[in-house]
Amino acid sequence: MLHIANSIAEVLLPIAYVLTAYMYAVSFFSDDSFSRRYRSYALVATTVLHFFYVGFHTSEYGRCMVTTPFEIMSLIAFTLILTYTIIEFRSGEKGAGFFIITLAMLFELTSAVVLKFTDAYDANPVLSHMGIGIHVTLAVFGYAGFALSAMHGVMYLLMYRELKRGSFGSAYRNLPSLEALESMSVLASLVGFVFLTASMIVGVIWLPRMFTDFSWFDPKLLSTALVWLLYLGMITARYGMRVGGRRIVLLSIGGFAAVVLSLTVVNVFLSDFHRFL
Amino acid sequence: MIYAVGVNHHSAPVAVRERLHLSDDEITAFLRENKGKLFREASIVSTCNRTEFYALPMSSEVDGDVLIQELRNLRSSDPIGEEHFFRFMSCGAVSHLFKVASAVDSQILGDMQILAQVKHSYELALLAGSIGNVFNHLYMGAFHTGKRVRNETAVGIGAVSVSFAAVELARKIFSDLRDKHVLIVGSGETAALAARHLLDKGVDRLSVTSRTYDNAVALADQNRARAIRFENYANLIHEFDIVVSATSSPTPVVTHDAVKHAMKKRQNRPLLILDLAVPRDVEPRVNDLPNVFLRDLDSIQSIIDQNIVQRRAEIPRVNAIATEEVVNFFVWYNTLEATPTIQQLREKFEQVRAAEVDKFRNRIEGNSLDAVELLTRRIVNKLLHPAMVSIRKPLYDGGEISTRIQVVRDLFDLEAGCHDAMKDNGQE
Repeated sequence: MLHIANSIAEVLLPIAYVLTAYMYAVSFFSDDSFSRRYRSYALVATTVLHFFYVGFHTSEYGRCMVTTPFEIMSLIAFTLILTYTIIEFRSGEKGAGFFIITLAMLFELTSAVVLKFTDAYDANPVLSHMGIGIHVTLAVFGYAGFALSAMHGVMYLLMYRELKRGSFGSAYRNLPSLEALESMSVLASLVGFVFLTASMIVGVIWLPRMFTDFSWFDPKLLSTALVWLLYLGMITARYGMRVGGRRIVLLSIGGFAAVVLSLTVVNVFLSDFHRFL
Repeated sequence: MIYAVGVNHHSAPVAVRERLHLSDDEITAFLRENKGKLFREASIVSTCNRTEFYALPMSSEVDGDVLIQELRNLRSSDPIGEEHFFRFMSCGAVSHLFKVASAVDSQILGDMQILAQVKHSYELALLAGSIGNVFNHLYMGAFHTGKRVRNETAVGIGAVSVSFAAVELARKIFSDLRDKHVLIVGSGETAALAARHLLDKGVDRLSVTSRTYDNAVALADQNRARAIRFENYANLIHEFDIVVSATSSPTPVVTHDAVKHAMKKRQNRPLLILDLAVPRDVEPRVNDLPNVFLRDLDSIQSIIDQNIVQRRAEIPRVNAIATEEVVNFFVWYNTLEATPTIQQLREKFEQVRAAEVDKFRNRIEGNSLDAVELLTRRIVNKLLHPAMVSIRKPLYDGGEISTRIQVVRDLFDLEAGCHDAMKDNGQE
């Protein structure tokens, strides 16, 4: 029964993401009344479906959803859509949905389509360990925060460009104010930074115990430390030196580019013990 | 039959409209006085752009002309020409009210303030006791139409005046205008309007500067603002988040160097400069500075133009919603008149059916009789269904539902006396 529910959710979830992202895209670029009216329902339905999927998957495999890249990507998508759903219902702002849900959809599709055809279900036993599970879960939340921050940064730049040029298009009509986008970007970075810091602390405690070939000079550890320093610099610039506006969102986007590099190139090609793909 | 007569911005110039504008007291007095004499139910919508009288007359002698005359009599000392009045009846009247409530008939397309004004007219009519079953349904339909239009279309979205567009622009940069500091450069009419509008939108901290200091003080006093001497303001630009410039100076009064200097002091926090002057007050290359957003009148006008185009594009959708709601209203309204005829028609068909089945009763075996009963009932229902539906349909050609009902009655030879009695009961 659980297996059937999990399998059905696995098929429905990518479809739900595509439909929701499509409705938000149509609403962003046109005034389609159907999409504008029902997009929030689609959002809630997708979030609830993903919530149940996380529950089904966890119950079926008897472990947290952080033991394979397939699971981690799906969890990042869930974190993004859940965070956005809360923001939308609290603020009533729907313009940012197109960007964030599209990003979540990309994570979910990558998880569902690409990694589904690999041996992604075979969990690395090390990742099933409690300490490492917490380490990875915290990192997922941290990276989701950085992704949200970067998306708000991209929206800021689009809005900035339209305001500067006086070409008032979709961004001008749909997005919240520059000030709101900047503060959302900074706040998401701050939340991401806190989670990444916590993840690093847990990692420092558990990784040397779990891996015999542990090295402090592993490229993945160094690149993560670099990401951490970048965000520390950004937060210091914002709160210590009162740097704001375009500069701060560029730092946020740059930080996320470093995250992506750290998660892809460094992880796949350079890292040694700290690689699970 | 429902009538709508009156003057609005389509039919009459402002000089006529303002003469026929009615106060709340005048409206309630008029409705009270004529209830039961002129009409069964009625209401009046009176705003700066329209005075419209909606009525369900007491008899067929009271038509659009009579209602217009009654309105004209309200201003008998200063008569208004009949050519300024519009008139609608039946579907046209209901459709007009629904379009008014949905702001598609407003002078400023999509100005949703009208829905509140329509609600107010309903409240006045309730107070005067001139709202009955029909007008209650009519107004509920109008409110529902207005709400649907607001929720399902973008006809009210986007600013369509310079002052609103300027505030909309400011809100796209700053999330909350209340904690922003605004500087008005100039003390003329445009500057005064801008100051008033910004205060209306919640701006708390306002400063005014003008080449004539006394004028700046006067404008500042009117708007709870601070006056700044013109020779000092360039050194204070960094204190402001929004600068609105509207002087008649032939040369720029806000220079690139002054703003560049101010931005350094502001640590590059965003600065919005609205140049509402012609010739322009602000050097255009100010917009090249990072985090400075300079918009002039042309730029603001382009926002307005875009919004107007967008609002106009929504008109077909608004009309479709209004038409849908008019149909819903008339399906209900026509039922009032058609119900007695429908009942009689059903009874007549049932009598014929029962009589015919009776004739064949002896030839049908016991078990089959139920099946024959069921079959004949279904045939009768299917034959009657299209007639039942079309008899309630709204008429768009100005015709009357009673004519249609009479055709049905003549065709099927239904008794007349019974119909009239039932119709009266139904309407009351």
